[in-house]
Amino acid sequence: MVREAQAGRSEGQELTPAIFEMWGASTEVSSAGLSYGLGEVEVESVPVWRLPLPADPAAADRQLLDRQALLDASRSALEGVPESIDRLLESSRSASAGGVAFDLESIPTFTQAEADLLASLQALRQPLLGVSFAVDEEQRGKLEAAFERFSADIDRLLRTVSHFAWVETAVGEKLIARTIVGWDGDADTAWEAESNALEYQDHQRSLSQALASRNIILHAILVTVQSAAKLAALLATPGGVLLALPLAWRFVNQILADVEKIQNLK
Amino acid sequence: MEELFFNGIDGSTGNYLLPRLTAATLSAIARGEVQDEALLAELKRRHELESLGGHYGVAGEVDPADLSQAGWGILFAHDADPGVREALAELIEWRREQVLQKDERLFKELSGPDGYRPGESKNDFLSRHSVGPGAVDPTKMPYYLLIAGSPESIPYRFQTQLDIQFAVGRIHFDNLEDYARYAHSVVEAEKMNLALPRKITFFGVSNPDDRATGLSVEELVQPLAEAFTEDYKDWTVEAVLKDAATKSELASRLGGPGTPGLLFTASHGMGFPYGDARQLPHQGALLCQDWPGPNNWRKPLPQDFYFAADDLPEDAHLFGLIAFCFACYGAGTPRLDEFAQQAFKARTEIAPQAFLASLPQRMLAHPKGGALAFVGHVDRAWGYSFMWPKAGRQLTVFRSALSQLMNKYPVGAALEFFNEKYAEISSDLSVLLEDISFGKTADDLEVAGMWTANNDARNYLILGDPAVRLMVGEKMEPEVERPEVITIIKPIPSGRPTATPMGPPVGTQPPSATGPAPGAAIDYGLGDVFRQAGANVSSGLGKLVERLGDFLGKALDDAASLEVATYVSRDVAKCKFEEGRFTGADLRALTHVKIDGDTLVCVPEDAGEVDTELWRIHLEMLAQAQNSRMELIKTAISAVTGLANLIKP
Repeated sequence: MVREAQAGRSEGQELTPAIFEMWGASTEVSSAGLSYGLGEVEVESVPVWRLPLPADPAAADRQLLDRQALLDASRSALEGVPESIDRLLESSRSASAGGVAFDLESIPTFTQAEADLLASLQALRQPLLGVSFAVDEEQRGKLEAAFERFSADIDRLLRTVSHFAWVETAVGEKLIARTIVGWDGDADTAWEAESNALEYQDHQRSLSQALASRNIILHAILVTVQSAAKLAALLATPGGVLLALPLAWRFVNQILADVEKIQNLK
Repeated sequence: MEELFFNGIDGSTGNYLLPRLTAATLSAIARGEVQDEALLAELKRRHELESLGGHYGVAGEVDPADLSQAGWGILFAHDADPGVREALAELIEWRREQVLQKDERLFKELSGPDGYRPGESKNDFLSRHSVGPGAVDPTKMPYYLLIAGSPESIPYRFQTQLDIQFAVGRIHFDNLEDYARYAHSVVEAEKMNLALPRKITFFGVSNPDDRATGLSVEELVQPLAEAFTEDYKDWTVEAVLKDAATKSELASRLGGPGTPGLLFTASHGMGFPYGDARQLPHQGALLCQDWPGPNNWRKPLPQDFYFAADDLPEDAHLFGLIAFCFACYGAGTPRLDEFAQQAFKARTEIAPQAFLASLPQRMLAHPKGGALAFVGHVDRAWGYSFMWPKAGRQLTVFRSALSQLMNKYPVGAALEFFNEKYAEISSDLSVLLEDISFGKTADDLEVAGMWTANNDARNYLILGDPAVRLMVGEKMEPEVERPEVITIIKPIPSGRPTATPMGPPVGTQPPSATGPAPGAAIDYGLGDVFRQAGANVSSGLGKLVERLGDFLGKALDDAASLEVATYVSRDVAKCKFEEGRFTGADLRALTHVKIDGDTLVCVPEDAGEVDTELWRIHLEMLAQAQNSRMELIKTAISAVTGLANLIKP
């Protein structure tokens, strides 16, 4: 059966990392007179990266630095996922080779996200180890729900990365720049004529962060797919891949959410 | 009368590429050769230093095997197609990451005004970059240098000169996709820490009645195979010699199931007359045991006798291979015949242009994952490579270089033994010729031998990144199916960009872990629930793949150009974006870059002067856009190919 994550997460609780929430969709964009060859994209769905900075330059700098730190930490965390998955798989294989269940207490070095994934893997592999497994509608429903969530998340995030977006930077009450940026980097930027060098820099930093966040989103999808391929091999069932994708997606989300927590503590 | 032999067969006639020459003739050639004084001085310095136990290569405190100490650079011709740089971006960025951990000066991209300029010698080039002769200071110029360009744009002679001091390799392909494929193979192999089985194969042809290959198999390949069998107990050392060395056996080891990590071959290389239709595609191809020898076959050679680029199938498994092929023209062909330079008083053209051999090009850029490096010969390969008059067999250079490769030295550092030999022979030869000019009576055979050995040692080249290493495991393991790599899909300069899926993807583990696990076909009672659930979710998965595919297609369509526009407005909040541009704002700067290099630039003015502050901001936005696009394409391609592989049957 699909067992929900242990320790600290109640059943059904799903985390959405802040990095995925930085992008919004605003109808205000349409009032600004948008026409960019939208095609099938609805105006309401245009991703917007809006960064209101405080008028105090030092406070604005701190805000940008914090956001950059989160982006850097998220990127770094994603790079560590393949190694983490490998370690988990090795642990899982060695345990199953001995015909014993996982003993999480004896693996104190795993992070919470890793422990959760291990627990899920253990539950899914129990039938292979000879434990009875009752198939019922509830489990089938959970499986479908997990995949639906994964699919919906991916769909939403792909819209963010695959279409042009608005990136706006305001300092205090003043909008200092607006950039229309295509997925591929095409950029049209309107600058406030009276902007100073610091404000130029603020918007460039904000734009850089917006672009970096899009790449992180795509990277998260990539890492999920790669991780799912490994997990599917371990599950060794005809439908393993269908389980592995949402499982991997949840793991990646947890990793990124944990990054945010750590950043908030700093 | 002593006669000299070299490897090379004219495929159009079945005769040797050059007639056997007497030592007296060669000696006369050597005595008449114009020497490059600066080059000779460099070679002498190297030889003298090494004779005293000193060290050339990198500076003493630098570990040449450590890329983060020795540095890495890439060199383009000054007018190189910018698309080549873009196609190689994955490799360049990967090396940059590796090198910049310690010192940003250890990484260099030499292009445009910093690139190679026509007619430059090695010394001219280095002087322009404030680098003098002697041991390499990698903070001034990295030790590992990859030349990206044809031998017409950056000559072979420049490469061999540069190689005396640095560890140099070259890549050149006919299209941008192949550059990207090679870059991706190298990066993938290193990122996944590819662990091929510890296997080296020695392939030695010995055609009937042919003294050259008889010599190479008896004095080079077989002794090397025996020595390595003795020295490397934890390696599989395979010898495919003489009658066994047929084309089909080579095919098995060049992309087939028996492909080792390290392949060493010795054979004739195919040569064709100037302008022959087969010269470009087949010159340097490896002539196998199938050729019955000069006495039994005196007519054009069919391709059944030799292994050429088009013998490598689409599904060949070469990923990670390093090949060392001793054969005439194995690595490439110069335009001018240096051998005939003084003998015939005029340098004849042997090809319409200098070119790289097609076989290594195809090996390096193979769509299923390429070889990492190819070591071969430009121009003729000589028996002096491993035999010396009155001294007999000389294998130390080969043995040392192969040992270094097996010990995972970067290929550029491992091949330093050949550069040392070149320096030593050149130094000795110049002294001898100087003595002759003052009246010394010299032995023709000695002069001829040193001259040919000198040219021979000089002409060993690395095709590929000189920083790659042999990617083998830490212990002897059973052979497993070789991993494959997905080729990065790059836009083509003209026409619609194409996406070329190149076989199953790699992932980051051996195939045994990516493929169905043992027992995957067994239904443990879960089959029904998964099948039923699968029926519901598979349509969602299909849509996801479709969406990612659409995204990638759009990405490639859009990637043919990049546009960055900078406007200024009195009230940004009221600006509208209509028909692809802002209204209510003044367009002040615009840059439109097409993939083929065409660039449209509008520069902002302020009262007749260039608005430098706005221009600077605009350029920064352009750089940001370029970097962002590169990153996004790279990640998108990996995601799409990974997912496609995940759901394929």
